[in-house]
Amino acid sequence: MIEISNVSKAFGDVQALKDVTLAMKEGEFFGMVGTNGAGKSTLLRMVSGVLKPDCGEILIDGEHVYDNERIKNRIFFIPDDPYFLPNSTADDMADFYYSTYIGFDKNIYKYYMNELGLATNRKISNFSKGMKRQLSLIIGVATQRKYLICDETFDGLDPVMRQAVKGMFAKEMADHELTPILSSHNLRELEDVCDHVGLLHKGGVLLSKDLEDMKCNIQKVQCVFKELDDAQKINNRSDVILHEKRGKVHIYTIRGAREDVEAMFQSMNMVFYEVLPLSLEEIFISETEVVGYDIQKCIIG
Amino acid sequence: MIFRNALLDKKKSFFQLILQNRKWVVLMVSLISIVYFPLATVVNILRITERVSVYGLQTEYAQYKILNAVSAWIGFRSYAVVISAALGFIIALQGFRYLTDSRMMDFMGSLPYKKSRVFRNVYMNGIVIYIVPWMIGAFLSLIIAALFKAANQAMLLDVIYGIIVNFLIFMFVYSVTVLACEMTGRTIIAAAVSVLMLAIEPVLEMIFDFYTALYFKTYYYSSIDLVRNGVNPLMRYANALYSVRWNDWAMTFKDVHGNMDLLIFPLVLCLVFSVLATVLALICNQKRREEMAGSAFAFPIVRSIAKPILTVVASLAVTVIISSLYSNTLSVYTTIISVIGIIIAGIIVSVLLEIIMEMNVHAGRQHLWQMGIAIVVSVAIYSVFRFDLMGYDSYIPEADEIESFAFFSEGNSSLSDYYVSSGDGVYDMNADYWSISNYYEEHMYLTDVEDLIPVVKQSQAYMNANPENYMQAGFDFTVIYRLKNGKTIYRTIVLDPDVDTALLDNIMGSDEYHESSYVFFSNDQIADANTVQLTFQNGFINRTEIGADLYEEFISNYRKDLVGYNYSLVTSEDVVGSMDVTLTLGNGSGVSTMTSSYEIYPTYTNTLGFLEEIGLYHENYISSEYIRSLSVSIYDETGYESDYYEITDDDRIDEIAPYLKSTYASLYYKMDQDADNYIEISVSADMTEEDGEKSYYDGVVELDLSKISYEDFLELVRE
Repeated sequence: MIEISNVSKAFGDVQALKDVTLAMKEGEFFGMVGTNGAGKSTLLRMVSGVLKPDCGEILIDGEHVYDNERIKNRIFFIPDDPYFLPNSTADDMADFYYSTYIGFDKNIYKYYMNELGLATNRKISNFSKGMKRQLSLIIGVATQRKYLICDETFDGLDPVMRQAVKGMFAKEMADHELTPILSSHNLRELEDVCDHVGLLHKGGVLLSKDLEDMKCNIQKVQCVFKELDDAQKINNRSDVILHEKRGKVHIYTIRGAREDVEAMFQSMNMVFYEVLPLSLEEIFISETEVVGYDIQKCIIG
Repeated sequence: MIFRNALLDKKKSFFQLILQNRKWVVLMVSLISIVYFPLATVVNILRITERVSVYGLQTEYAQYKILNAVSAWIGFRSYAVVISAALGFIIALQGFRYLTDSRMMDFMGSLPYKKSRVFRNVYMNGIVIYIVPWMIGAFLSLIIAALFKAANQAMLLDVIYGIIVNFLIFMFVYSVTVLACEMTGRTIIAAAVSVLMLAIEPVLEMIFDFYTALYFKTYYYSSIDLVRNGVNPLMRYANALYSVRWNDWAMTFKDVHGNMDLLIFPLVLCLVFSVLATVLALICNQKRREEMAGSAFAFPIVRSIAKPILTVVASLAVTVIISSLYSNTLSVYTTIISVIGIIIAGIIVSVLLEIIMEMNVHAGRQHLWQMGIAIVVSVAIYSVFRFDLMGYDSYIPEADEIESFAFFSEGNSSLSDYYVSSGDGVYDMNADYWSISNYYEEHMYLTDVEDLIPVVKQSQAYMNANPENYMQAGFDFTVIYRLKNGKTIYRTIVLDPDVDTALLDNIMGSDEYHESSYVFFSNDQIADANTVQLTFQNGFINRTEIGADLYEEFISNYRKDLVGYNYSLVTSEDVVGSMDVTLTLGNGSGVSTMTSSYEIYPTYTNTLGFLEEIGLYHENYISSEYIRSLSVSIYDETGYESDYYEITDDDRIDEIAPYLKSTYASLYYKMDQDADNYIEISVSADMTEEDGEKSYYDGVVELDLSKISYEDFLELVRE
């Protein structure tokens, strides 16, 4: 488990992170979301042991990670712009990591290189951005570490490769108990795979919740009322987060369990109502508006 | 799909992984060490072998020259230390460049290694990259030399010492550069800080020496000063190497070991500073924040120190340029220009440094307080020298502080002709003395300061009162004080024309002064000499006799006459000639000579009598009967020839000749006070000696102003 407690980090006059507290459980797929400059990369670097927090602590499996060989041996970090040894090929990098990490699985390396169609003996300097990203991910998975930390994971990947990478993560989580920690500025990329999502904004954590919990506790209902009084009753409820009206059709985002919300509408004389699936983005918008942030300005994609 | 590396199943250590990825550096060092040096050894051997063949040197001497040539190339006195220093610089910058790149820092920082382990591995990597090829190259060169019969057993020791010397020099530069890398965050800044740390002391000393020479009227340059005062190991080593390198050795174990002793102290300094720099680098490595990769400095305090120092150096250096533009550097005008120059240079350099450090044109306005401090310090340093705020020019030690002193006029000293040379004409710098001042330091016999201090005080006052023209007035003397606390102080003074000559007579007339001012060869030196040659010369004619007994008799008479030597004598009488005594010594590896000179005054009756007795003496004038022609060139104050006269008429020559004397007569303490016109007189004479031998003189003579004035002479010539 990764425990981040009241971590702050400043670069000169710029406060990159302030009092960040997060937890990342083993076996969970953690997605970190935020705009540019939110502090995602800084936080991931600190979790990887590259940077030292100014204050607070980061514990991995109960131990501090910074300058700790034993704990760092459980992590593989893929930065947003990965570095490769000069004039090296994919095999050269694999060779390097094979010697560095005990347990590097060359079969996994070979398998994924073949699956994704990357040449092992071609100079990495001739790879495209997306190919370099793929290579980093393959090597990261092949090291068989407990935690795989990726910054801007899907940057440079085409839609097909994104799906392939998601499949790779899912497979490794199932087969080898991998705990991926990914960051992205795009909620939609993480929607399919994340178990837990953390939202960073301007160096702080806006929210950190299990995706299922968020989905379970918010419902989106599209309905048409027979009587205006019923509409007024719903509008006045405090658990209504969002209300839209398009002609006679009302769209409500309501906090609460699905059964409770359905029961409420069933008790009224409705023309029709239906509970619609919420996207991660809609959930975030709803959640963050509660705390006063116009999240539309925070999230792009 | 297979791995390219067939040995993939064998894991490599972190050290090996780093080494594997520095192959270009390894290749470069290997090319230099394993290819260049052995090849160059072959070329050097072939070259020196051809040279000894061309000169037809004797076998033993030829072998001696070959061994020395090879030793100077592959042994510990080789200039290869420059390459070792350069490699230390390059290997450190290349190895620690991960500290300057945030991507590389992400890479290295995320590996499962402690920071100290990464530092250790990279650091040791650099040492191995250097030392292994270097040792291979050194021994390969030795083997090649042996195959060419250009090596002996002592050379093996020489080469081993050479490896040690080069390694220590490498380690010093390497560790300082590593420290610079840990203190900074960009390669160019690291390189600059490294150079600053390596060179700041000699650069500052050069600037301060320049300022001292420029502004302090009593400054005396002693070449030993820089060696004594510096702690920079490279400068210390360079100075020590200079004394070692010019010496051809017998290439015995004793010689090799003995000369290596001269280098021990600077090498110990190298080792000490290497350890210190490495420890500091490790501390910086632990304290350093990883996010500083790519920033100019990892620690703000380094910027706060480096930038002002560089600004001060540049500002003070501007005065060097300004002083070359103006002849009078002590005028009010030049002083104002210098201060303005310092301020402007300080501003420009400070702004430029900030721009370079931040790679941002707009950054020039940052940290203005550092610029302010640097300018204030620069102006303060300049003022200390310009206005002699520390009293350099008025300094005289207390009488009870002085253990002994030397007092001499370098330009008028017979010691300027004292030297030791080896047979092929190369000066043997490992023999007795570097310079006249060095000689006097070893022969500092004067102790009675009662006469000295008033002379010095009066001279200093005279120089301060006449800052622009004191140099044209009187004779300059050097005073060396040896204090009881062991310190040696040098000063130059120009005598006040109104100085009490009695005081100077007491100083220069003393036995201690005479003993310190002349080289009297010892009985052992005379006994060891193959020949003792005495040559009398007066500018017109040289006469030579050989014999150790003649030298002893000459010295005996000369010592009697020296009793009358004092300041009054040398400023009132012309020298009539001098005796050069040359000892020739042969030691099987070449001939060497020792020469000393003794000027002779008209009052030296004993000496002159002896010289006449052995037939060496000749008057310092040419009789008109021998003169075939005279030419007189007259130059005006701008230096252009205004008149020229060619005289061949015997009667005219008879009239003019008595007023001419040898230029030799004015070598010591005689100055031509009349500067209105400059006359150059040339004489062509055809002389027949008493023994019937003919000799010729075709050269410049001087006007004897004790017999005729310039104006009267010009009238005579123009008749």
